[in-house]
Amino acid sequence: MIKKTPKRKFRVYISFFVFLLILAIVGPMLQMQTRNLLVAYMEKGSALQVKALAEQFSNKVSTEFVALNNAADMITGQNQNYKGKDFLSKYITKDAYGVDAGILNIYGHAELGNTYSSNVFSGLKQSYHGNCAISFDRDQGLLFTVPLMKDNLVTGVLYKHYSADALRQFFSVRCYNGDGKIIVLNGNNEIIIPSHAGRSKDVAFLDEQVVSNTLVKVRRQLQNQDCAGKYVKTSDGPYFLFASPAVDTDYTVAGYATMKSVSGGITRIEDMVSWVFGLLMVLFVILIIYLFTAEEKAEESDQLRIAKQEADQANRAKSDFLANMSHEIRTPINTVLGMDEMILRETDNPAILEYAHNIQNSGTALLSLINDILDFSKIEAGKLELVPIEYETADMISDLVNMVKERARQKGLEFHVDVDENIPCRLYGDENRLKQCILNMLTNAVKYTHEGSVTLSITSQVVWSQETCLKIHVKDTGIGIRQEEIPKLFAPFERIEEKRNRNIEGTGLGMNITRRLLSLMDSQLEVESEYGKGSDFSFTVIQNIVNMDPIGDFTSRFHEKAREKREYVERFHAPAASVLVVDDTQMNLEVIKGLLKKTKIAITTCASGYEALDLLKKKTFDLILMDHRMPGMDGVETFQAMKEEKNHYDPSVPCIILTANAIAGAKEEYLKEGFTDYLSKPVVGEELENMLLKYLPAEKVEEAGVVEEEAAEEVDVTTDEDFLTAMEERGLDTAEAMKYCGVTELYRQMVSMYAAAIEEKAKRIRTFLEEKDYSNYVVEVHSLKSSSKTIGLGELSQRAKELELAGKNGEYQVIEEKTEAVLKAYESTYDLLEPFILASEES
Amino acid sequence: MKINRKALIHYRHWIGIGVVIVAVGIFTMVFHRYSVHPQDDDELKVGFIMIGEKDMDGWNRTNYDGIQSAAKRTGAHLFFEENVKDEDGEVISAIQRLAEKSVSIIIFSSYNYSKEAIDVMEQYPDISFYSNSCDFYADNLTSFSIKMYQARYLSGIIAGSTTKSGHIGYIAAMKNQEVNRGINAFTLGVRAANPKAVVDVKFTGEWKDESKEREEVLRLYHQEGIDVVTYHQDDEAVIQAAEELGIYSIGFHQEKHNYSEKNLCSIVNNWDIVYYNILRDYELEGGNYMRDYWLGMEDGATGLSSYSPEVSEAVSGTVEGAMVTILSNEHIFAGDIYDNAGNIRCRKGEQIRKEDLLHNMDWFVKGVVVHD
Repeated sequence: MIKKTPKRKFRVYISFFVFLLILAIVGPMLQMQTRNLLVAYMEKGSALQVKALAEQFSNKVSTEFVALNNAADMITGQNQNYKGKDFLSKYITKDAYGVDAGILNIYGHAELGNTYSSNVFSGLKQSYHGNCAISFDRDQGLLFTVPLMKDNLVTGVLYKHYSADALRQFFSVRCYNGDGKIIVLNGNNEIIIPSHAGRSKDVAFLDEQVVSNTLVKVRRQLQNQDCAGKYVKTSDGPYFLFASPAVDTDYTVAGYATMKSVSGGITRIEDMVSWVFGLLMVLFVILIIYLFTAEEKAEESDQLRIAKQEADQANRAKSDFLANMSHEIRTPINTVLGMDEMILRETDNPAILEYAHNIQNSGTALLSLINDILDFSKIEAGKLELVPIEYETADMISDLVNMVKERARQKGLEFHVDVDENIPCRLYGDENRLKQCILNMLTNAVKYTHEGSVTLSITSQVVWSQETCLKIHVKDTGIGIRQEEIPKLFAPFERIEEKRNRNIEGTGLGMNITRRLLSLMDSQLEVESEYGKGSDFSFTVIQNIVNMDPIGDFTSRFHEKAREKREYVERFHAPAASVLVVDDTQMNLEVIKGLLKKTKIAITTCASGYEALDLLKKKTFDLILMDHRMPGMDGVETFQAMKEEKNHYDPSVPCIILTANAIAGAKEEYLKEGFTDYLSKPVVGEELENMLLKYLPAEKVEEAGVVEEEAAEEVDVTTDEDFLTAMEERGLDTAEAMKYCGVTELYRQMVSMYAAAIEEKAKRIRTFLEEKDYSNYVVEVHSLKSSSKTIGLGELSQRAKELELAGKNGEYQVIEEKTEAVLKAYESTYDLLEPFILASEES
Repeated sequence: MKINRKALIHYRHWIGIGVVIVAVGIFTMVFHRYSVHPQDDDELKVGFIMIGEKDMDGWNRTNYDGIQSAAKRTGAHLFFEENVKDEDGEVISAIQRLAEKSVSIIIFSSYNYSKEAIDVMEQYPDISFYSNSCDFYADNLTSFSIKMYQARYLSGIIAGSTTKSGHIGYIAAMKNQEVNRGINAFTLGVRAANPKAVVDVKFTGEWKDESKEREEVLRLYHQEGIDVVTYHQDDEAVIQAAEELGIYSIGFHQEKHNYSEKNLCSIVNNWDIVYYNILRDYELEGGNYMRDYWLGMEDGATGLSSYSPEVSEAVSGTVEGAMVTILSNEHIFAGDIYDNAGNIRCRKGEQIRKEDLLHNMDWFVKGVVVHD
């Protein structure tokens, strides 16, 4: 809810109101002006009309006078023929009804025709004095008079008279299709010639106050113009009054017509304008409302945006923090695991081995958890990217199998692997992330299955020529998931049936990360599950093909390789090699030293770039391991400094950068810088060894296996004494053994039998333990106790005895804890005793 | 100049309103510019140019009173230019001053102004000029006058009936149409009453020269034996002289009426009627009409004042009769008329045209004797 201060609301209303006010003012103004313009236009139009009519009238009048003057000339010419009624009727009146003509002498008496008094027709007086005149009387009509002249002296007056009725007939003018009424006025505004509407109507019209006022105005306008028109609102409606003087007369031709007849529809413009303006106003109002609401919305969204920005920033900060912390977090864990590895390698003490194994398990689990969390936050921060590389398909699957196989076996589950023969053997893709996904699915399957099996099946289908579509299924016979709970799968931090499954370890992030990774790979996870029966998780992913050759029968190859791997302990010695390790973290240096201890390489460490430069001045090394992130000079800067001549660095010496930076393209960057290769941190022993193997000068590297084999020296045990001695050397208590065996020959046989049975027996014990078949377990352990004692492995016997007792007493916890260590010790005797297995046993 | 964008946004409301108001203002102005202005009904502004001052006797005062009365009746607004000589171009500057006051009408109350002003009148086409009996024509010039000759005629009858010596004196300012007409009409009236009587005319050369006028009266009295005298001057010096001599006099728009009974009557000119007609016509129809205002007795513009007891009833009866004729057909300059050179100017049954009366009165009727 956006906070709207009262002040702001007030301002909004005020501006709205002002806008409305302005519109309300402008609208009527517009209308008024339109009307004014229209009226002015019509006034002009009507004025021009009447001007034409006035001209008409003037012409008529002129014509009359011309005719009369001609007649006068004819009369005053000395010819007597031109006097008389016939003449008049022929030339003047033309026998028209209501028209008469005559001649008056200067005394006013009619010589011909009627007498008209000059009192009535004042024009007569003018004519007596020698001017043409028209005069008018309301009742008697119109009189045209012209003087009869002889030698410039007035001898009489010739007149033509129109009766009132005849006037209308001869002189009335029409306009506006008869709608307009035209009248002729004299100077006193008396109507000389009324309109076709009739004198009374005309008089009534002109009498109205507003009309007579307007007439005055019109006449005023005639002072400056030759025609004028004015709009007048009469009681009868709006009219136009117009007038124009009849030239050469004292009369004015005027007229009046309704606005309707004058306008001829032009007033519709006014209506149109009003409508348009009204519409505009409505639109404008709508627009303003819209603008105001939009503005409000904009403000709202502004505020929301700011809030979102802040939230995003916080989120990003958090994600950045986590992403950047990965280095910080992993380093100590790396140290722990590294140190632990060293313990595992160096101690024989079973108890310590046990502890070290536990540390390893927990540490690995912790590392995996951290990785999940870091991955998750990387995804959140948008920093997770796929880093595609070329990889052997079989190797990837092998790794997966190796990682899962043991756990499945420990739970007593069967683990089936079903790999299509035709899968191309070498692919290009982000192997790590792909493995991560599948591993996640597999570990989940194992976690949530308490009996039965877990099956991994992989098939492929070549899609394009260079791409293949891998379909991966992980099926299990586990507890299953309810349909409605399936969506929960992918929600981070949520675990299904929390209560029931709380014994099962995990953060609940795995599935979410898997889903994200799969979506990065343009894939998605599909789940089918039946509650209580089992589940099938699957997905398809497209990988580019590098080598199309099919991998063939995976299962058999896998076992072969496994055997090979077991036998081929990849270790080497390189005592002549010297390696420089540069890392600011002491722990990391210790780890590397530990990892490489067995290789007997001469390792020099230093903690900073400056120290490294100093050391390089004094010594040359065969290989340099350089940490990237260091205070002061970082790895890259140090390397660049090294390259400068005076630092005595031989460019042929491989320099490998150690970095937690696993972003795609990083390797290329480092290679560009000039590094030989790079290693990801945390440093894995095997990878480190591979790297050294690759880059150390070959002549300085020795295969460890050779040495090892040499260690398996021949033992001559033909004589009894020799045999006994050999046993003694191996830590067996021969005295004790001889008590049970009596003769050496029997002892020999016992040892042989014992050694031959180790593998089987150990397996059986394990199996029985896993199956919690404690009765059989006790039997086996009992026999182990006995047999160990018999050949003089007293300590082992003692330990087996403990197990037996625990088993008998139902102390299963003790059994769980201790069995493995005992078995390990038991199995380790095989190495000692193997040479003494008699040929007969080996069948 | 850096415009503070933030401030702009903050004050956008006020800016918006300001813009709209400015727009409306411009809109209004534009509209008004193109809109129709109704005709202004100004009141009528009239300029009046006089030779003398408004309170001078005779011509000036009667004219002044006349225009005032007419203005009052029509609601016109008057602007006076007094003491404007009818020479040296003074009238032109008077016109200019009046034009600045936006007058619609300028009236010349003296005859000679139009002579000088005729060239200037063109420059003021929106002003209607009215001149007291002028001979010039312009588009915006109208002449006005009174048919004083009608009253002259009647006064002639009285003079002719009164004279015993048969000599009647006539002191006139100068020869012009008006003056001549007056003399002729007077003489016709005299001759109608007394066919043998003679009118002795003397021209003073000035509209107002009291000593000269008096001198001429005395001269005529001594030389011709006049026993009745009348005049065409701006002042009443002739009456005073007549009073001194004890002879009869007839006034010409005289102001004072406290003379002896020998002051038979006066010719009265009702300028107010003329001016009223002019103004009223202007109001109704506007100026610039080719119309001459020549108002006579029929319009009530001229006449005789009341008679002194010396005018007998018979005479006044005759005068009344003549008046009727004038009012109806006005046969003053009609019938047989000879000029004082013996030429026939009019015949029986004929009448002299108005035009000739107005513009061609450069002769004198028989019976007029002009003394130099």
